[in-house]
This record gives sequence, structure tokens and C-alpha cells, in this order.
Amino acid sequence: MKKLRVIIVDDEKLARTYLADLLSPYEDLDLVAECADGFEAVKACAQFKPDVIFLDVQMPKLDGFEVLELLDPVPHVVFVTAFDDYAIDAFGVHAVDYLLKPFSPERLAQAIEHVRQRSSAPQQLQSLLDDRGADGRLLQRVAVRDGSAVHLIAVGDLDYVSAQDDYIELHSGQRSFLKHQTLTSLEKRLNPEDFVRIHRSTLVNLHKVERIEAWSKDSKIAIMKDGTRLRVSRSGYQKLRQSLDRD
Amino acid sequence: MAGDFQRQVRYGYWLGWIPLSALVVVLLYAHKGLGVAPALVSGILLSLFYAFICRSSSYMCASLSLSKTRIPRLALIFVSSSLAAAGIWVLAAMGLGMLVPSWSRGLESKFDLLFGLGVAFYLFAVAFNYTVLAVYKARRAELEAEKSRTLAREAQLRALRAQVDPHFLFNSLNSIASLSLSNPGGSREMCLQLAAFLRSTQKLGPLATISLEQELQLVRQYLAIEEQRFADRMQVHLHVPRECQDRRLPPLLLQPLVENAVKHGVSTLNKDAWIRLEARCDSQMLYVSMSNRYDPLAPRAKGTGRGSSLVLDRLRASYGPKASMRLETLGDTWRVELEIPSAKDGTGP
Repeated sequence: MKKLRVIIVDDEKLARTYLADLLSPYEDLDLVAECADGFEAVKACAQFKPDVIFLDVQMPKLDGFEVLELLDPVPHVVFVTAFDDYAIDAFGVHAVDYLLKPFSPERLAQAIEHVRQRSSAPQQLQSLLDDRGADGRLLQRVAVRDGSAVHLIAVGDLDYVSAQDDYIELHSGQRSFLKHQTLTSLEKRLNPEDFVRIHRSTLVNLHKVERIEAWSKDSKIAIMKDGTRLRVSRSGYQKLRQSLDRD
Repeated sequence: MAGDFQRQVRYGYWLGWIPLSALVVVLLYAHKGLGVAPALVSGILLSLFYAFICRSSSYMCASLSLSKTRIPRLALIFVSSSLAAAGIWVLAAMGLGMLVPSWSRGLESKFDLLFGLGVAFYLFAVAFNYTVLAVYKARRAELEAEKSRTLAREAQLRALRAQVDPHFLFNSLNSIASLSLSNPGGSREMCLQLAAFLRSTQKLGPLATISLEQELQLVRQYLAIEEQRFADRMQVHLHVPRECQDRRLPPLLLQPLVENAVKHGVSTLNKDAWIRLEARCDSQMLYVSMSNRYDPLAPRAKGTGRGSSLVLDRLRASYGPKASMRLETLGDTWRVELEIPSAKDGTGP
């Protein structure tokens, strides 16, 4: 049997040690990295391409769900946390298992068995990608990976987001970032009072809109505070007017 | 309370009869009545007798509620009973006259007067009884209201009692499980710390206050355990002047704040986390300020938002508007300030 490559991500040293100690008897598991925060996790996953990741939820820098959004390909995920509040969100991102701290060696064995079953079945990665982040929480920031570096953009700093094939391009100030995600899935996780889809391929931060002008007989154009001009579709214009009138 | 009140009423009643019996004596003496000594003796004896008669009216008053009995019926009952009582008094005076023949003439000349007085005294006694009953009822209502206020406040405080966040327990137990494999001595040490902390919190009643020093001892115990989890990255500074250490405050008031500082502060940072707790005090107030570094961009952890509002609710329940709480964030520093009425001599407001 192929050895499964494992990464442990937890900000508490004792929690990492416990898991590592309990995993050491498994000869078909290969512990390739232990990470103390989300950044390290993203980096290590890019480097080692693990099969399984044991992931804490509350961590400095990036939480467990944000780490998942940045992984490509996505390994099998076992959440390890003291909070049962995240269990439903974990289902949303197709986690293999959800271990509550403290857990017994037997419970861990079960989780590993689930991972083995899952890894022998063919994965449907694309559906997993689409569902990532579909845990119902409103975003406060967007995490973007650039090579092994991770950028965090506060949602309020976003000017607009445009769709580029399978990617979205996030514009913030003078900079822009590409991320593998659909515009619709991002839109679902942003506060609709702040962000409006003004066009099939454009999502705009209302607070960064300067004014709306007529472009031709049928179409309008939004002028951003930094001067950027964005096309507004007919239905987009209606949504924009509703949102602006509300303010 | 009730016993005291009844005794006072009894004293009042008999003291009230002293001037009344003086009046009787004077009336028996006046206008060619009895001589001084006979008037004195017979006046006191008759007054004493009549005081007992009138006293019996209190049972009637207690059973006839002023508000629930119709006025004509009340009037009928008390007029007739006062006439009867006055009649008995006159008969008593007659009896006395028969026992001491030399007084009988003097007494006989006062029968009409005694009868009139008897009716008036009896009605006075009725009025006195009703006044006493009304005062008693009012006092009891006040006591009941006070008692129910106290009960309500106690219930509120009990509901607001700070409880240690269960996630803290789960995480600590996980650390102990980990140490049990890698460092059995350390795991025993941490078990003991955890037990000591839990025992200290169990001992606290919901209502009493504890000194700031005791509260800080709990905070230290708690943070000592958390330091096992975050040893590499957290620093704790406690600055409490000696003169503030014996100020009183509700137990575990600061606990949710310290828990928040760990949960939303320390655990969002991978290094250089700190928690600072400072206190100062003047003659009436205790000021506690707690600040910690945090990551303003960190996603909000779940199951939260109750911690600081619980603290404010407890302050309000214990001290009313005199207490206050202020939250502020400054860059990467989160800060909460409490103003707690807590006087120097250890009494609350």
C-alpha cells in the first residue's frame, strides 16, 4: 500500500506533539511536516503535496477554513479542534472527519480508516473546489496565495473583483491578485450591503463607487473613486440603484 | 419583626390608658363627686376593667376587614358593641358602689358621664385597632416587597454567574493527554494546576464578593494553565498597587475578560502576544483595565460575544448605573476598562 503523506497543523505545540505521538505507530503514514500556523501550512502543502492534513480551526494568521481555500490540490482533511461549533461547516468543505480534543487513540484510528476509504475512492476535486468556503460565514478578509506567499486582503480594502475564466481577480488599491475561485462563490460570502454584482463578471464594493454615468442609450458605467471605469449591466444597474438608495 | 411590633402595640395601648384613667379620676372627683382618695381608687379600678373590655375589640377588628365589610354593617356592629361595652362599664360601677356603699352616691351621679365616656373610649379603641392593623399590613407589604426584590436580584446574579469556558477545559485536557505521553511529570503538574483552579472557582458563591487579590489569584492560576498551551508566545503583566488589593468585587468578574484575551488575542498571534491587567483605586471606586494584543484581521472565533456583555450585566446587576464598562481597540490593542464601586473599608455602595 502506498504510504500516506501527513501534515499536522495546530498552533499549540502540545497538541501537535500528542497527534505526532499517536501517529508514530502507523507504518503506512509518513508525517512530513508539523505547522504552527496557517501560513506554514499553506507553504508546507505546496511543498509536500500531502494526502492528509490534520487541521486545527482557530489559529493565528489563517484559520483552518482559510487554509483549505488556498490549497490546490486539496488533501483529505481531518479537523482537530476543541470546538464542536464548526462541525457543520466542516461537512460543507467535505472534511473526512472531525476530531474533538481531547480524542482517544481509538477515535484517531477510526479517522485514519475513514481517510483510507476515501483515498481509495476516486476524488471529485472540482466539486470540492466549488464548495470550499461554503460554510455560511461572511468573510472579513480574503486569503490569496501567490506561490508560497499568502496575502490577506481585508474585505473593506477591496475595490472590485472581476471574473477571469476559472479565476477571480481581486483589485485593492494599486494591486491585484488572482485566485482560483468563482465570482458567485465569493459573492455568497460577502455582505450584500457592501458588495453588488454590477455585471456578470464584476462584483463591486459600494463604498468605492464614486458615481454612475450613462454610457450609451442602454448601458451605464460606474466610475470608481480611483477613476476606474466599470461596465454596468441592466440588471446590475437596478441592483446598484437599490443598494445606493438604501443608504 | 412581627413579635416586636406586637409588643410595641401592647405597650402603646396600656400607656394610652394612663391619661384616660387620669381623665376618669378627674371626672369622678369633679362636680360634687367622690372625695380625692375614693375617686383615685375607683377611677383606676374602673379604667383597668374597661381597658380589658376595650382590648377585646381588637379581635373583632381583626376579623372585620375595613375594606371588605360594608359601612352600614360596620357602623351597626361597632355602635351596638360600644353601647354594650359602656353598659357593662356602668354595671361595673354599680357593683363597685354596692361593695363600697360610701362611694355609691358619688358613683351614681356619674353613671351618665361614665356611659358617654365608655362609648367614646370603646370607639377610640376600635380606631386604634384599625390604625395598628393598617400600619402592620403596610410594614409587612414593604418587607415582602424588599424580600422579593432581594430574591429577584439573587436569581439574576446566580444566572449571570461567570462560568469557566468549557473549551478551556477541553484544550487543557488535550494538553494533559499530550504531556502524559511525552512528559508524565508535566502532565501530573498540569492536572494539579487545573484541579486547583477548578476547586477555587467552585468555592465561590454567586453572591458574595471577593477581594481583588483573591480574584487575581484566580486569574494567575488560569493563566498559568494557558501558559502551558501558549508558552512560546504569551506574556502576562499584572500591575495592582498594594492599596487596591483588598477592594471587593463579584467573584470571577474578570474571568470572561481574561478568557477573551486568550481566545481573541493570544490565539490569533503566533508570537509576541501579551496580556496586561492594571488596577488603580480611589476612596470609592476600583478601576480595572485589561488590554491585550490581537490580530485585527483574524476571523471572529465562534461561540463568542457573550463574554464582555456578561461582565457588564453582572456589574449592572450588582451596582446599577454606578458601575461602567468601556471597550476600545487601538491598532492591534484591545482594551476594556471597568469602573467598580468598591470603597476603601471593604463595603460596597
